[in-house]
Amino acid sequence: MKIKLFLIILILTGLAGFLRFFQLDQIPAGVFIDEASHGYNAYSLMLTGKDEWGQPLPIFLRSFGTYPSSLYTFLSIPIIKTLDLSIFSIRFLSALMGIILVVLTFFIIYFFEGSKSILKPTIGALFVVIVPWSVLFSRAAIEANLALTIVATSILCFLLSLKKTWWFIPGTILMALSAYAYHGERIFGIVFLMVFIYLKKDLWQKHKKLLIFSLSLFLIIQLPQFILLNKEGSIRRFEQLNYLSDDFYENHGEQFHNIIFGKQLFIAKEFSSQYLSYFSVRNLFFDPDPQPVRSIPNLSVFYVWMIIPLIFGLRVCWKRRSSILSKVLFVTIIISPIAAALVRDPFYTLRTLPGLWALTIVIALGFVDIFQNRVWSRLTYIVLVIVAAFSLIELYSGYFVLLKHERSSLYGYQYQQLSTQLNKYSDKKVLIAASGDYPTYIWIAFYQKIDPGKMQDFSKDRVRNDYYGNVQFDPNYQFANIEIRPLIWKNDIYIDQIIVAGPVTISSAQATEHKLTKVFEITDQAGQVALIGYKTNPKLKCGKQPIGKMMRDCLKWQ
Amino acid sequence: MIDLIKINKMVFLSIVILLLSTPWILELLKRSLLLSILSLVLLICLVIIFNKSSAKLYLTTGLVFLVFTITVFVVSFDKTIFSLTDLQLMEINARRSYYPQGVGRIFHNKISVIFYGYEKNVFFGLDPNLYFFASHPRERAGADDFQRYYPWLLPFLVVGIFEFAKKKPTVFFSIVIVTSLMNGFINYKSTFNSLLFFPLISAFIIIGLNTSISYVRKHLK
Repeated sequence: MKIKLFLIILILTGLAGFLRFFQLDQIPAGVFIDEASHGYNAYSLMLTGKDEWGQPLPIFLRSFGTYPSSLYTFLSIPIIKTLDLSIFSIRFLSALMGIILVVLTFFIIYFFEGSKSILKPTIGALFVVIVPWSVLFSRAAIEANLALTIVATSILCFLLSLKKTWWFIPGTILMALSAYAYHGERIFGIVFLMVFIYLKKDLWQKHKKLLIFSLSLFLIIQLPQFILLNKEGSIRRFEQLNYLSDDFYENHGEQFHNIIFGKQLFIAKEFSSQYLSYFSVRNLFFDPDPQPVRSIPNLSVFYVWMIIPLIFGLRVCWKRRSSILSKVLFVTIIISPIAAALVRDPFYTLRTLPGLWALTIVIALGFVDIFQNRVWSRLTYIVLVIVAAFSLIELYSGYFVLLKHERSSLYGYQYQQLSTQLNKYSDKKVLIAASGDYPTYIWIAFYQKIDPGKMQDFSKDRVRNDYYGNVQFDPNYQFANIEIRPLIWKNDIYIDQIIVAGPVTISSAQATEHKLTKVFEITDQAGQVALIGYKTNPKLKCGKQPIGKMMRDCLKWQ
Repeated sequence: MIDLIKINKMVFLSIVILLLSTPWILELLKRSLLLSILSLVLLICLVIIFNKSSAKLYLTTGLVFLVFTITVFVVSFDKTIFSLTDLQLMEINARRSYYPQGVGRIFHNKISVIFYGYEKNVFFGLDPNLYFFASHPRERAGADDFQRYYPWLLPFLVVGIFEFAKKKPTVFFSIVIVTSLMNGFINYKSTFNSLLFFPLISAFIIIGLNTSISYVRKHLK
């Protein structure tokens, strides 16, 4: 039996490892800005003990004014030290967490489902291996994926504590640590802990000392976060995205303006609609997360065929609602979307990963229930192989082909290619024409491995000694010969430099008009032109006898 | 139906008035009297089925559903899912080029696009936010999104679904599956999109309200 268990886990981890590590540095092609931020800040911390802004041991990374949680960055340091800063090294931790989650799922079901069947945990773990959300988020430097694995480990410890109470201590410590991995877990952790204690209040009545000790540890670990609550940085994302403000109500709550308690009703409606969207069949099985970097083309978080086992799984869990596993699953599913529902991003999957994980287990239990003790039970393995194969084919098409090609520009693939070009122009001034407040600089910093010391020197004045309070972000940067800012037509064409811009920023007509010479072109994985490098020709632009304003500009910049 | 009336005539009347004043039925009355009548007849049949079982009743309900569906199809059958736009053709060609030689055709072809369009109509109809929050926060571009039911009826819908599925599981799943599949042929942007679900959802709400009121009355005694 033990050998059988070992072999099953080996096969599952092998399959999980393949799906998560295969071409990890190539698919997705490039890194998203958040990944680049984690990677570069880990690199900076490794070399200097400080992040890109010169802050030692940041609880939240200032990043581009979004203040993501920092645990992923810190845990990536030894990996980057071993493998050097690269796409593979920064994603390694997330992929590893994805594999560990598979093993955790197996053991949670095996020990606590009640039947000691090996089929249920095998199918549960297998579904976590192949389900779209798990593959997608394990193959990118996603701090929420790290948080999920910590939460799952914590839940396993909590469940073990029902047999040996001392397991509650590591469970509480891990749940507290999950809050440093992702913002959503700052709410999930506290709520889950309280509910779990309530569910087994009879047990904890007999172990009050252990309970108090564990809760004290939880509070102590959370203390830095509580201390920072009065700083804007620690609640920055919530501040940016919530719907509680008077301004938002004035602009979006017209139908409630003339009703008594109108604002309260508006907030209740917003929360209810956001919360409900995380249980919508449309969103879970068909229409993916609206943000392209958090979704796979033509594939939502679950496969369409999983609707049927989900219904059976909910039925099974409801029938066995007195079992602790069912209770934990229902609690996780119900409380997971709470944090996500407090902000206005629709169906933001990253904020509800524990819920998706719990639903995956319910789907697995439902799948077994469809076939167990029925006439067609012998078809279980045949159907399992068919659906798994069908799912992997869909995953291949959606993720390994379409996402790689269609979303490469969102993952900054063009800047990865640009990095190679920039090495050829190290003796020339280069302007990367970035528009809006998108943090293009972080791609350059990541791919060029900009000296963190120089980055900190450049950035420190922007923080002005108020790391968590000074939240405004300036996307304009300068590293040695590379400048990143919007293009200023009246000036930049008269400076001898290389201008890098997208095809929309500088059209071919404009390039001709302003005597710009194309020196390189970068296409994305879909073959679309993403960036073009132009060499300016100020002398040609100015001509032999410039007149009027052009003469003044020419003289000014030459 | 008789059981419902027995509970309390005033309570039952309140439920009926409530449902008759939901935004959806009011919109429907403005747009089509025939569809309003058919949907209400189907609603009554479904509520009766919850309490009774007879072959005649199932047959009647099936016939009413058929007539209702055909009438909805006549006014809003989605022919567009069977024809490809130039943009869709361009997308197919572009996507085929991403795959190894010959493999792209398996994944991206006319059938896959048609099926995707059909799936879209099916799944958009299964979004609870469509009915209670006018699809908010994921409003559908170009669709006629309005709040079809009052949000506070949602818990009663859940209770009603639970009760119906528990008491008549075969009927429940048959109706939901058939309605969902038929809804796939109605464009989500059309005026009557998701109308096939109106009798079903309303019946579940009535049952949910009835169950909840009975429960409260039982515990108050």
